Amino acid sequence: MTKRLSPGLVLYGLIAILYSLMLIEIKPQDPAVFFLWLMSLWVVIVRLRFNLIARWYGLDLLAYAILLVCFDVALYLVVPSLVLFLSAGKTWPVGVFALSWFIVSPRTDSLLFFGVAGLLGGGVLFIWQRDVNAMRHEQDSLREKVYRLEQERALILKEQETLSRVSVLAERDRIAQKLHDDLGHQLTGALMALRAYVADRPDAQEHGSFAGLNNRLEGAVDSLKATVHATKPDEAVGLERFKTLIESFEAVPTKYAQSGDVSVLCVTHWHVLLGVLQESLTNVLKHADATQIDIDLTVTQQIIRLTVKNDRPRINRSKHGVGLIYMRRRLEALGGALNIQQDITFTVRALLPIELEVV
Amino acid sequence: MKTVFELALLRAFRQKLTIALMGVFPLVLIFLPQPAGMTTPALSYGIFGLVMLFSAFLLSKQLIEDRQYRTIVRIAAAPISHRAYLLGHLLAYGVLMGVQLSVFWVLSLFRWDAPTTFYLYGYLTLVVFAVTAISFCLFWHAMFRTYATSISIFSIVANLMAVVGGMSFPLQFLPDRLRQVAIVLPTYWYAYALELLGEGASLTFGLSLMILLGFAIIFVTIGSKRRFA
Repeated sequence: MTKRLSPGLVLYGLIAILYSLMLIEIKPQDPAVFFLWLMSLWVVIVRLRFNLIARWYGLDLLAYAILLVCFDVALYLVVPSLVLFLSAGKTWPVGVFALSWFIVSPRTDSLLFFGVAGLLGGGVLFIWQRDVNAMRHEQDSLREKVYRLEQERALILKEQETLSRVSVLAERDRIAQKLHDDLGHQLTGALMALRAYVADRPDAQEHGSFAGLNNRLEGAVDSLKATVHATKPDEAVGLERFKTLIESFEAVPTKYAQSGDVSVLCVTHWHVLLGVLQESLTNVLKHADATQIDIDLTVTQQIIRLTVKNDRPRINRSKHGVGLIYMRRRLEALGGALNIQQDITFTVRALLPIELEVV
Repeated sequence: MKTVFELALLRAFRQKLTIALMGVFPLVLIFLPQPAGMTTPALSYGIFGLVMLFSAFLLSKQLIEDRQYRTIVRIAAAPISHRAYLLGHLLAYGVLMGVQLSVFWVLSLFRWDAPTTFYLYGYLTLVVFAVTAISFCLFWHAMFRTYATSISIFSIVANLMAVVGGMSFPLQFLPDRLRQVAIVLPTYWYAYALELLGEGASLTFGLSLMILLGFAIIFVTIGSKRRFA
């Protein structure tokens, strides 16, 4: 794996070169100086290895001051300048360092040149590092966006599947209802009328065609009952499903109120409302320590309003998750809106027009 | 940490060849004749430093093998901190090295007739160098991915370090130019401390030990970084 040239690597290289240069000055017979050199090297390594907070610059400055006294070569000050610039991104340590440098240093001739070179070098490295960080940040945010989009895509696919299934179920329910209410009643009525007619005419009972007609009608009614039973979905749909969801939520006591004519709601309405209700109830469980949830479904001539309100605010104040964000987009796509209100209570309010913009 | 320490000891004892070599070499060194004119067994102590370096290397191979065979990933998933893992292992190696150097030191007491100060401060020097050797090996293993690469380069570098550092011959024979380079090696300061011991303990001797400990701190600082590959 090839490593790209980065400000960090350049800094390591510079430090290695400058610390090697310092070694030339150290006499083997002078272990004290070597010890100080070793300790200052350790300080630099600690700084680079652990990425310490700015408070630790005092330790760095001490090490550099020791070096300055021992070696009396301004060149070495390039190192701390670079280190300070790169690892800080803050100006005050540089100011403190520059001040202490001018106070402690016995030399002033090459001081200015190396000082300026160090500061400029450090500045360049710092800007470079900042650019690298900005690029990394951008890459990370792009990655996050891709991740969120993938999550949304999965949600959309899942919803599409659910919607088509619910549509089929709703259609089956409607057909079963129609068969039961219209055809069923007609057939039963005809059977009853036939039986009433035959009851007054004993001679007709013996007539074969009446018996055949009676049997056929009984068979048709039984067959219709079986068909209605088979067609009616086992799973609840529409309002029934909505109520089942509220009743099955046992973690927190719920209070449900409904007003207006809910029969005007289509499959898409119910599907979206169910999604909002489910998401809101899940959110209460996850983020609030609620003791009561009020659910209100109001249908007017123009709009449908679903309000889910719990009596406690959110404990976990994290940003709205993918669920609520997606729900908001879905509502907005259909010409509706999602409103979240938080004070001493937490309220989710979903608005949907009766006439949907996009289905 | 106690569990890791015990496990590290157990694993070390399973390396039968390493344990045997750690036991045999001090015995061999005891019978090494001292060069004429030397009042202290500094040369045997110096070569024993090389033995310690190799012993620490062979013991600490567990660390690189854990990385090589991805055991470190499983350890990271276990409820053991990296610090406990590292401290447990290093302590176990320290105990084994301590036993080895103590055996050598006791044998050297009977074998050579040197001043008491040499033995007292010599023991201290051995202990400090053992710490440096272990931390150096931790640092060394951190630089490689496989044990095979690590040992093949180490066998050359360690011998070079011993020669350039003046462990296998009296330090006064070391040329000045080479000495200027050798000061960056911990082996030089070990040999330097042993040489100073002949003249009795001094501030410079103390500084040599401090430098060895300084090296140890630097090696541990770099080598302790958790790596998975």
